[in-house]
Amino acid sequence: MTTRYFVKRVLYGVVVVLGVATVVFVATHLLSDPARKMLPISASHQQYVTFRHQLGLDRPLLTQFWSYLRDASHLDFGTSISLDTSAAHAVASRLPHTFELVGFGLAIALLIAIPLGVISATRPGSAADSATVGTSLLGLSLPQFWLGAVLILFFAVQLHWLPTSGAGTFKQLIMPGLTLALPIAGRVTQMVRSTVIDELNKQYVTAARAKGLSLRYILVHHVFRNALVPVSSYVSLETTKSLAGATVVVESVFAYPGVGYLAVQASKADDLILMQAIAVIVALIVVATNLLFDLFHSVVDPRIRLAR
Amino acid sequence: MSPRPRRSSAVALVSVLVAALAVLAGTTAAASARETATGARAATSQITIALPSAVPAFDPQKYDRIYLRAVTDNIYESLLARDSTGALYPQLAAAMPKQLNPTTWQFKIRKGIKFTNGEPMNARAAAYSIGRIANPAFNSELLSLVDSIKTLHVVNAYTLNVITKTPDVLLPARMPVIKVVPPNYSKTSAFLRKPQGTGPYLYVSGAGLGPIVLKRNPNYWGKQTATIQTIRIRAIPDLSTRISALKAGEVNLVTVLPPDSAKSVPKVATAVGFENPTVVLNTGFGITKDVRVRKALNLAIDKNAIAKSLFAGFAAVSNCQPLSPSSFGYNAALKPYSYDPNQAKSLLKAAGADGKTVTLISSDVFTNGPQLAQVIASFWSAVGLKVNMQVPQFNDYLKDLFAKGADHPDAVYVSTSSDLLDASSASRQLTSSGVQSAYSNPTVDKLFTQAEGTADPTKRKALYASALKTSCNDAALIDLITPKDIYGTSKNLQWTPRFDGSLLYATMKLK
Repeated sequence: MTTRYFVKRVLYGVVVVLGVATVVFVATHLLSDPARKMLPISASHQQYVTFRHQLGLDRPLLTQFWSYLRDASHLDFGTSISLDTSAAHAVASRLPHTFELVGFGLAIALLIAIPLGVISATRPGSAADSATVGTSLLGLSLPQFWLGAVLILFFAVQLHWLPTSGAGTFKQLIMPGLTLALPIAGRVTQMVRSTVIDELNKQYVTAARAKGLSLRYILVHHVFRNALVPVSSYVSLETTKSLAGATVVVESVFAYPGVGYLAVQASKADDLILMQAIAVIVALIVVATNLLFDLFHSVVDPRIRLAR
Repeated sequence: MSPRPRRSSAVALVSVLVAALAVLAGTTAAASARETATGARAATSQITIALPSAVPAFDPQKYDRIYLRAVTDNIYESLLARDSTGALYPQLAAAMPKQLNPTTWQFKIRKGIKFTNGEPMNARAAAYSIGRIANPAFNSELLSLVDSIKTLHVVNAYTLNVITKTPDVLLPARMPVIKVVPPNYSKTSAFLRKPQGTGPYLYVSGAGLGPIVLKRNPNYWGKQTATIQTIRIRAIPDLSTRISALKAGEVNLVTVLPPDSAKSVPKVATAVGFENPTVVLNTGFGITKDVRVRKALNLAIDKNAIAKSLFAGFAAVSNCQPLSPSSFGYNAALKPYSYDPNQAKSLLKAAGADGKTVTLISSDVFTNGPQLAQVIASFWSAVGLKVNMQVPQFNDYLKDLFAKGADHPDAVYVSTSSDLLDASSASRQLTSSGVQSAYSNPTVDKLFTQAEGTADPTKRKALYASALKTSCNDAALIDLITPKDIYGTSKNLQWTPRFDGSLLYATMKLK
């Protein structure tokens, strides 16, 4: 049953990646002229024609699409025009940095959000609850580019505690990690709070309490397990959102050499080959992340795999 | 009844988190203090540069990008180079070239120079380097600068003849952009990642993710004027982070500072730049066909106000020519159309253009492109014109810019650089065949053609001066301003920026 479910999810994933690859191809080939975009403004017509030929853009569109799909299936997107190296290789060399940043950011976010959410849910209406709700609202409404700039001004320019930007040391991971984490922590705290409140109002909790079980025991043994799937689904959404979006801002602000920063660089240099590689590879990672979370959910909650 | 958890636990948790962060920051603070102390000791021999973008693969012949030049201008050299005033001098050549006949230039090459990988630098290496860029299949971004070259003839190990298709007096001016590379090494893949040149700095590390590290070349063939031992080049895309890094003392030099950020850096250094923001007018068709309308469009714009407000004073009003003042052939006698909205109104009335619509196209690929167009549009509206301003996609913008005849819009904003530092670059916008031109005057065409075939500098200068005066009188363009390049530096960096944006580390010193 699990295998069938897993195969079905993989097939969905393949369709999504194919869709992204097609949209990227249409956007780069039909809506603009890649050769013109990549050449300098002073390039002559002859240079343009030669370059178009080099890129294979003078072939029929369907032929181009087919060879693009064939090459993309081997993760071969061609040579990045701005880096003069394999586009896939350029993306691959940046991925560890992005994974490190997202992993660290999510860890901080969860370390903050889960305890705060639970504490807040177990005493709704209290001062602690109001403080948590207020702080989490503040956290989730902070724009990341602003938060990053403020952290830099305070910790790097004023206090000289941390370096403004760059990567390679743990110190350089702290501020980008926090910038990524705080808005996520705000959202996850609210999610944990409302999920735990929902669970606490269910009959099995009343029954357990009637049996004389302590709230701590009920939380640990029953509520957490039931709250795990909705919270984890939400965390999976936050993970993919970070991988495919938030890192663009955070990595640019902190000059953190991950895939998001590479995407900004590619767009500044009009490097369409590199942009294609980034879009398709990030789509693959997002699909794989979703698949992992789905698998995790189907393991912790058998209802999920049995229902489909 | 289950026991109610203690109310203070949320507060306690928050306190623990804050304390943890403080400890984390505190432990790093000590390390950071140690680093600052080391940095202070090393200050006499190391500087860090922050660029807005990463440096691409190190091929100085394939790409013409300012960020690449921050590395390659210090590692590679050319047969001829320009000094800080823009004057040409022999660098790897032993002397200025001799013109043997109208189409043949002879270069004598310095003897005894080797690339850092051991290959000899000689006429063969120079011929290979020029030929590499001129080969259309190589598709260099510099190709248009060497397309006059027909063949290269290595006379002997230290003599090279360059033969051009037609008489090309600009050949020496083309040489500074052609870096001489080691022929055998440049055919290997290592060339893109570990440059080996003849220059005053050596590449150490950092290709790809950076930071790039260069070190002073102890065996430099020429007079080694570099005093800074190590150069670190970092890419920091976000402007406010770049400025913060400068303020925090992490970097010594920040390039490409927008005018409104100049106040927030410890020290500002400027140089008159290379760029010429201009509006190309269609002189053959439409409302702008009438010279009175073109003059009115010029008179209606307060260029001083643009320089003062939009560029915070870091710009000078352009003297009615699309050229940087350091270019050969720049006509210093020309004066801008001064701001006179009343005269503009009466000229429009006389031409019957009062209340008519003028189309203005701009692009966001240029710094301040859309903002400048917006300002121009408001000046034109103030003298009674209706302005149809558009900022299309880049491809559509290029179609408009390159269009000829009636297809060319009334006015197209463009910013181009005077890369050869010669008035010939103005021919792009001022001759009938110019790629960005919507102006046709046979007299001007003839003057440019004559100038480009005249070897005598005085005569050539006179021909350019005459061409630029005629086009100014025809109000062929709206020459706006000459912006300055703005750099932020640490207080201890002593350096005068160059007109061409080159960061030559051998000219930098630390106090």
